[in-house]
Amino acid sequence: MKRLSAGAAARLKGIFGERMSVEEEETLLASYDATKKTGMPAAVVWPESTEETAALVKLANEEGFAVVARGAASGLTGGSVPADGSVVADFARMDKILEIDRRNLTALVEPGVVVGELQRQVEKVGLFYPPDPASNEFSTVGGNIAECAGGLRGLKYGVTRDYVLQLEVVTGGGEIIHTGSNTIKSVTGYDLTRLLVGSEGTLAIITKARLKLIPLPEGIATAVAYFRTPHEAGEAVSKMIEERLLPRALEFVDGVTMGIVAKSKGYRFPQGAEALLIIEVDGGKEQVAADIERAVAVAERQGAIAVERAKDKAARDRIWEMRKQLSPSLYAASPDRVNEDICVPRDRIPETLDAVAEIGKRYNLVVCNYAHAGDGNIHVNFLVDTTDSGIMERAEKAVEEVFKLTVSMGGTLSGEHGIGLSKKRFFSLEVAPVEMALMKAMKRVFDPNGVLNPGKIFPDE
Amino acid sequence: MSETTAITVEKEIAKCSKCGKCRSVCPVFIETRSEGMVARGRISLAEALLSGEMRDTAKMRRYLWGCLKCLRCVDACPSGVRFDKIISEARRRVGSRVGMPWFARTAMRLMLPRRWLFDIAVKSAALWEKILPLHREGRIRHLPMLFGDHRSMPELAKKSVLKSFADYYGDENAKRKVALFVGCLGNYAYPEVVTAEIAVLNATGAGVYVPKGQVCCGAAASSLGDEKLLARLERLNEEAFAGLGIEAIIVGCASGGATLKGEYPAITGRENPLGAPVEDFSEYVAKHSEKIKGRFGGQVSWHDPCHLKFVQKVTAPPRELLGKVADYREIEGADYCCGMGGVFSAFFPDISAQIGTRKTDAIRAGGAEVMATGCSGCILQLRDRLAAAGADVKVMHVAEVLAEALEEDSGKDKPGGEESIA
Repeated sequence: MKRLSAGAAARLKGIFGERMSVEEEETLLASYDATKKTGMPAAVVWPESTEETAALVKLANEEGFAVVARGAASGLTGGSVPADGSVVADFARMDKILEIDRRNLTALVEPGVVVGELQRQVEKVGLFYPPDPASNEFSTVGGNIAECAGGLRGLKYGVTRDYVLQLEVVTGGGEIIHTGSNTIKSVTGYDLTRLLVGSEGTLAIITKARLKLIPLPEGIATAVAYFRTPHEAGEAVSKMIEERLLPRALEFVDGVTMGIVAKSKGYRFPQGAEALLIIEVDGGKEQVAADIERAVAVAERQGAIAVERAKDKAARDRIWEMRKQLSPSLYAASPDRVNEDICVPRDRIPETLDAVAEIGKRYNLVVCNYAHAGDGNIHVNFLVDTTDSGIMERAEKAVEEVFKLTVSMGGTLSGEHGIGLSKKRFFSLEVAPVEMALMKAMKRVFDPNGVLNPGKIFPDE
Repeated sequence: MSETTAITVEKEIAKCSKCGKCRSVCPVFIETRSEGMVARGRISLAEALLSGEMRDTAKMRRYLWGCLKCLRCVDACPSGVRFDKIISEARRRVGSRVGMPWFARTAMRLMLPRRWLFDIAVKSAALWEKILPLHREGRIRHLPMLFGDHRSMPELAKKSVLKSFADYYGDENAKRKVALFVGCLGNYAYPEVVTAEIAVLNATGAGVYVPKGQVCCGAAASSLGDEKLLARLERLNEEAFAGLGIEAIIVGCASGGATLKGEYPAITGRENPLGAPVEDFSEYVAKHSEKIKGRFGGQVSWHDPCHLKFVQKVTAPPRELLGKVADYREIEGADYCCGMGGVFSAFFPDISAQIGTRKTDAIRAGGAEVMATGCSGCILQLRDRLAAAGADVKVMHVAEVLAEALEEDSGKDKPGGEESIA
């Protein structure tokens, strides 16, 4: 294990005092994220201010250690898994909602605020922060911005990047900079805010964010439609959008996934259903009642064999609880499953699903998919039975083919999880050498000595 | 450690996907925001400890003992990890290697199975001071019954329940007979709760035994990782409840009920080791509630004890019963932990108080007048925290609310009952 030099450790202690630790318990606790990949840091610090964060990064440049920002460590591609010997900055103590501005519809927050807590607080005053990753009850605003988290409401409301107005960050050079403007419109210079959102902690460390809010919709209506084939469900999605319906969520689940969640959590689905769509609309109360019926009518025209409408909030919560159980159920069924997060133009969902099924067959792998179908974001899973020798190699080849397929469909490697460690070896499938060189040049501008979150995004050389 | 436990715990550890969901429900994490103070972090530490990769240090112990065992994380875990199994095993390991509990454990081993010795010990806080477990955060001056310091302690009853109560209450020929497990706090501190439980159970038509041989349930022993002592207490309780011809054993304390329902079958490998099914007080009464009537004057709210909601999964019965006799008002955060957690509050009085304050803030925001609950530990903590906040909220056991309503009802039939006020 790499350690800090005695001098570096002493200077860190000088900045953070009791809020710095090299104890093996603390470094272990900062070594993982939800990918279960690990890297052992040399020390952990708990910043309480932007100035402390800047001092940390300056010291990193002087002493030559790496700095990795950490929120809830719930990421799915290893974005916050620290490089060996780095210093982890855990933002647990910068967790205040500094302001909710009801006149300008914004919130000013520190990076350690939990997204669900922000949502609850703004909803209390009739406002809405739409980005809604499945991890919202524990993931933090800082992590959501760094990975550009998406979630269930992307179709209608977009993703995290669409709600970040201003950022205060510490660059890799240790400078505190402010990006963006507290206005809806702004074309003063380059849009550094957009560049930083989704940069996975490799350009700068977020210390404050001003987020855009919108009025909380009055009504919500939810229904589940069941289909005989995934293809039919995919067609229903395209038809709804073609008919200018804009549900806030359109979630697709295939039959294999349904079977697994039914088995592990005791859900019962209609006989013969090999795919389902969760449809949720929001808006004015009368509008949602009309919209959900229109959406259901489309589903039925596309061959839905059964439809369930949520009668009240409890029924709606049960539907979403089932949706949230998918990933854990697949994990329980196959802890070593390969789970990808591709995104394709939404009218190509049906053919993508068919092609993924074909790849699964070719490599003799169980495939199951669920998707934020409204925005083309498909979670492709290959279940892996580790007693089957050689299966990992087959799965890896299959994943590579899925990525090639995605790119050929005009899609992208990651809709919302980021590249991190997990996907960096596939990065050049989508990003050509000239763009990659430009990105690396930008990295050098922000972080000349490469101290921030090394080893992420770009393929190993 | 037997091989089977090793395999199970190892399996449970492997089931953790490190998703982080436990961070959203753990009351200790919510106060501390520290990864070592939440199931995911503790599982990582337990893994390193059990595999021998990491040593038992003060820090390790702080994190392993810093769990309330409210078991919200087990209830919420999407991967179904039995964190309770992991933490018990990890605690057993640190417990058996270092000083912590050896003195406390020896004292517990001596006292808990022997009521007479416990009786003496409870009255001498000084003895408890000497068995101070572990390094604790904050100051503890007195440790009567292991709970400490700034807390306003309940006065100890002049005579404990098991010394002063009869063996049986109710009609000798009652069709239904049950036995009451009184619990340590019920026995020493809250005899009035036991009295109310008996009155209500009698009102449902059940005859109630109060077996004198019963001892501590062993929740504290289990928390401290002492399986041997837990097993011994189970055997003594098994003897105490044997041969009574009862249809159920009723427990009015959620933690005791959770231990009897969950840990006893696990440790004995038998479904009903005490010879009859164990039921929570409100669970049983709600099934036989035809004769529960009368009015309790005023508004009542319910606090879900963690060990009732998240372990025993009992939430509806107490609400039904309270709704039947009182103006019931659900408050937001009804199921938020009170922060007591038995031995936790002795080790971490400051965190315990913070959790309790978050709870009492919710109680006050919800405008509760009377908080009813079903766990002696919760009663102790809620009374203490509400008093500290200067809040005028009464805390009662659900049995006391029901007993008051029943009394009011029977008062109606008494001649001159109403006039007597004037």
